[in-house]
Amino acid sequence: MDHQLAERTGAADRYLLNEFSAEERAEFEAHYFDCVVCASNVREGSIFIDSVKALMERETEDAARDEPHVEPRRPAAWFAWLRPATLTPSLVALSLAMIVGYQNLLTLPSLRTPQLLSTSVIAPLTREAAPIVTIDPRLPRFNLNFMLDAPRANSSYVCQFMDERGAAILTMESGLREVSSFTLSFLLLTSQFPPGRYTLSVRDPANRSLVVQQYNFVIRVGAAK
Amino acid sequence: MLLAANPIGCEAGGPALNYAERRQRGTLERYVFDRQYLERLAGGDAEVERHFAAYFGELLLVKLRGRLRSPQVVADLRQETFVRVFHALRKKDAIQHPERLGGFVNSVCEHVLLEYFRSGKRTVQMQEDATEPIDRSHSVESELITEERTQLVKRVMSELPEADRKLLREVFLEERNKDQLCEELKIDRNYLRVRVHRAIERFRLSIQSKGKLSRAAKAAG
Ligand SMILES: [Zn+2]
Repeated sequence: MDHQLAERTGAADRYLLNEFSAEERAEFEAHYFDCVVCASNVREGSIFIDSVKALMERETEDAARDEPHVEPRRPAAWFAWLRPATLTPSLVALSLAMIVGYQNLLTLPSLRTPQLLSTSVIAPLTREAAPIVTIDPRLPRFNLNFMLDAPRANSSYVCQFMDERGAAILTMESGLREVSSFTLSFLLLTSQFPPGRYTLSVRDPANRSLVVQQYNFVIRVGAAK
Repeated sequence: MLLAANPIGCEAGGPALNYAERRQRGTLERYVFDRQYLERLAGGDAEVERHFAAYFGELLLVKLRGRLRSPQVVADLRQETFVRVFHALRKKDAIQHPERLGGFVNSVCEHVLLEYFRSGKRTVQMQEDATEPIDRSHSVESELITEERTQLVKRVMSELPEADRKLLREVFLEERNKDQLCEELKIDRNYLRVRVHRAIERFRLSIQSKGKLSRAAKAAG
């Protein structure tokens, strides 16, 4: 890659936005290590991106500290979905362990601000309307719990969130499970779930066409009371 | 070797000076990699070493962070690259074209990366540190510079339209899938890049004008 081509194609920005193929990246790196102008564009762009990240992280943390978000312990309207079985201490412990597990599993960006996790649980799909989940748009993440009651214990499950058009927006493995009834707890990015109706499909990893359980829910934004 | 932080007031334009000229003018911000520079570097000239480490330190950091998530691995491989480059410099005529020193550093780093990936350590390390993508190891000097940069970024951000600020958050902080984001915002990838470029360009201009101001102040004082 020569300098003119790099300039003309906005190579430094493409590079920083990770838009290059491995080959293009290697070509541009071979160029910018020898080109003082492109090196400067890359360096300044990188400094800007790091500073923006740090600044926004700090703002998010400050906002969360100033206005602590506390989920109500009282049952909400759709709390009736909760089955007595999920209240047993062992399952509550399992659910908490899974929340911790997921924070690592999902490789989410840093979660530094302590936050109370919702204790509300969404039950599998029924004929009734989907429960409404109100999330605080000021917080970068929110948690959702789903009660899973599989016909038999699978070693793991494939969990797929879909929007109302049926487009998959997030797919992940549940990790090792040893029981057939438990609470699936997710820590999700607020930005990935704009207000709307969603479906979570839990499938057997050995046979992905087999839906073990399905859940509908509606995301709505509003300050948590 | 201690890596110094890069000066943020690095001049983007103007004629390049060779090492002797820069030394005379008391600045190492613009330079040419020439035989003299290589000899001083190989001979352990502290000033040239500091310049070399600052300049290539940041470029290597950007390159390595594009491939690795663990700050510790990035730091280790960067250090390994420096060690190998210095080792090569001490061999007579190891670098035939001093003006291509950057290309040489890049190719050494490529080798170091390849060896690392072949060693099979990759997955272990990446899992260990996957939640901490930003390198936060700073010297006091670089913390001051970081604070200065933060102030500049704050100013640039405050001058951006709200939609652009939101876009930067989605792209860089939340690390959203860009295709999905474009679809939501009803824009194409080119326009997303234009908006990011616009923000970076404002920052470039502001650090350049800040660099000019501080040099003018230094000259006056
Ligand atoms: Zn160039």
